[in-house]
Amino acid sequence: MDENSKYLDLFFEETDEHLQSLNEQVLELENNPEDSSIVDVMFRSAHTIKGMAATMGYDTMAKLTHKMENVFDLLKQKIIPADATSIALIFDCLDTLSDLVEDLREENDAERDITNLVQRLDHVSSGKSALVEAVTVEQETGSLLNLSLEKVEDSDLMIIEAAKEDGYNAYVLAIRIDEDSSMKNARVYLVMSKLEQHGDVLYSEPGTEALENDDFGTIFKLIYVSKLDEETVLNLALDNSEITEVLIQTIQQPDDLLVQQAEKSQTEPQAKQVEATQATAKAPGKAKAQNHAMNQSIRVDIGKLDSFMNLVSELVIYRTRLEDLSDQLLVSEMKEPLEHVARISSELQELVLKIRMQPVSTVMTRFPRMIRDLGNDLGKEFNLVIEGEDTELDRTVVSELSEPLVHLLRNSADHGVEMPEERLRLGKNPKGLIKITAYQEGNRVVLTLTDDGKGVNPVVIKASAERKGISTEGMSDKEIQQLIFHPGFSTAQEVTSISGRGVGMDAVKQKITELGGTVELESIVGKGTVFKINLPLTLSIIQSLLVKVGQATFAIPLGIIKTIVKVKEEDIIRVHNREVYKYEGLAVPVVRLHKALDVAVTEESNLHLVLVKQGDNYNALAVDDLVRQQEIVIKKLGQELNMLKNYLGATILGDGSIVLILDASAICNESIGEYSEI
Amino acid sequence: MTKNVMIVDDAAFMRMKLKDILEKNGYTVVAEAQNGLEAVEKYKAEKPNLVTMDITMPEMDGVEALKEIKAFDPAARVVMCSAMGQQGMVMDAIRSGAVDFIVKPFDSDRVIKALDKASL
Repeated sequence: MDENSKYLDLFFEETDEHLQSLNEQVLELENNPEDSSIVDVMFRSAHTIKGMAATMGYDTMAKLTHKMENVFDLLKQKIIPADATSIALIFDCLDTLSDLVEDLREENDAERDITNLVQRLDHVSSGKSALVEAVTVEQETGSLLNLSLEKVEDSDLMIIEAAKEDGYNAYVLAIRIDEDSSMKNARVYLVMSKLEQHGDVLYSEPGTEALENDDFGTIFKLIYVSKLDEETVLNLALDNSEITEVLIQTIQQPDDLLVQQAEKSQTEPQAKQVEATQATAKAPGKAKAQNHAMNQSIRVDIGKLDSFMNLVSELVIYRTRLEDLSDQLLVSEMKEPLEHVARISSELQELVLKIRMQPVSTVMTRFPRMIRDLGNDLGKEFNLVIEGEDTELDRTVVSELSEPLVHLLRNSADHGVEMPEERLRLGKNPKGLIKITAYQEGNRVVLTLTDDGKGVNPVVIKASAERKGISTEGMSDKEIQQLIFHPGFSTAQEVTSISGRGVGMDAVKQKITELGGTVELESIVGKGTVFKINLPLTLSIIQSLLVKVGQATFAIPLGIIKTIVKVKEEDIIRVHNREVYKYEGLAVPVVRLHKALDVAVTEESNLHLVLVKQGDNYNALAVDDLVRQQEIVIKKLGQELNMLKNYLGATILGDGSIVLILDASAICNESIGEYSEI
Repeated sequence: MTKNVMIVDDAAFMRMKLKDILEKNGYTVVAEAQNGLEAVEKYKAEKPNLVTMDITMPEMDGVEALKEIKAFDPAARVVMCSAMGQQGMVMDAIRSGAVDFIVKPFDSDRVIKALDKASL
């Protein structure tokens, strides 16, 4: 690797962003082929990628993006339509670009052959543009002069007026640079410096900054005063390399500039407004994304954030420690400063959590494209609806979420939604609905993935499960449907082709469980399927309830606790070999923690039941005493303790003691399992 | 106007290519230099009508050499040869009096167009 290697990370990051944005824009364009503002955005992204690739010496990428730019330019000028052919071509290009980036990322030097794509791009740009060249030139010529007066101010006019009185001529110049020209800014500079030897440039469009940064298309416009006559000025401007076209007009009445400007501004806002309302109607998310872009932001290495997080966690531990000490030693002077420390550290904690938050849209942005491609591959039509994509989750959760979501989406598209003809026959909309919603619920986030396809048929599942040797004795239809998450079920390929679902569903469930979440399925045959994923907002600092079981102290995440009740032994009744507690008319299964965790029972017990929510069900954990509510930092158990399934992790308390954090769902599942075996 | 050119580039390959392009189009290559120092010396000796000047070179870079040549002969016509991404250097060179620039990799047509304009 050469000196460029230190820019690699940034290069990849930015390229990924631009590729993503390109994908989104092309999808937009597919829906609004007439909207040239979309092409503008595409053009800029392609241009940026080209620049970056060329600078890094990735010639293949630079070449491909360059050719793509040409095509975008034609799209922008409406010389070629944004029809199925061109959209497909652009998507192919984007895919190849992604592949190229992946190759580079993996330092895979194998050259990809892009000749085919380049030929197609060339074909589109040369074939069509030659045909209509005459038309374009005229169109552009017309637009050149009209456009040249966007931001002229009164002060400019006064100077022109004064210059004219002194015997100078004033001109409007519109100059086009060869579109293949690199370093257009330097070309502009050459033209300007030549002109300025004989007069003054009063005004430029785009502004000087944009011109210097090469942040413009191929055309720039000037107001120029000079004693030279029109033809000499024209030749002066033309007499530069890579200048393809120059238009000039002598300004007779400076006020004319304003009149034209007014005319223009009368027609344009209307058009813009229509565009704007369309944009808000069709893509509310996009407007927001643009707002985001307006915010100032910096990029931070996630590693730094992680260590920031860890340091804050340590701080929290020692704060608690100090509080304990101050209580023990009864040093009253310490109270107040400690309270401040407490406040500041919890603010810090909140802040670092917020910093680590990412909207779920980060993983969802590529779904529209994926669904579109799936639709093409499968010969189905989908209507993808995404709601609540700005719901935020901890970055680690978000980045791990992509894989299971993609899996579920594919499943819905492939096996859930029926073929269009079949749907028509069933009286459904031929376009299958796939809907993803995300919302926050307390300190958890719920994601649902809904389709209106054929649903999971318990009869089919049951049959194939039994063939697989999975017992379905006494299971309700709903329980049978959940079997698609069963590891033994989903690995069976031949079963899935019949059942229509189940490919790697256990992988999905496993991943979600690893993230501290749950996934459930609700399905009505013929109507559709809903996957409901419930995830924690963050993985590292949680509010917890400390409880005593025997002599030992354990922590239960507060988020899952529904309520706590003090009960007497006789309030717990036995029903069908199970201990249950009647809560609000519900029979809630009771789990004796000392039994589940194998802890010795103590004589005195201040029996409490902690009702925990697990999906839509409740379980009651029987504990011997409540200690207090406390914020704890989850520390993962090491690899050596991997087999301990009942714990989410451990935490260090203020007094230095170590407390295990209970994984309520694992404990309850295990306990229920035990009972159902009896 | 005679078309006597001096080619300045540290890569022999680039000099060969440029020379080939130029000679096919009626220019005479009167001198070649492989760094800025050599360029300045040879300019003084040969007084070519036109110079193509690479930017990145050892000993003395193209922009420095351009400045020295312009100091010696304010009428000198120097066309810069730049690679992509050298905007800053190119701007510098233009401010210092370069008449034009061409961007590598060279396209024969563009080179000739630029030189024809520069030698007018």
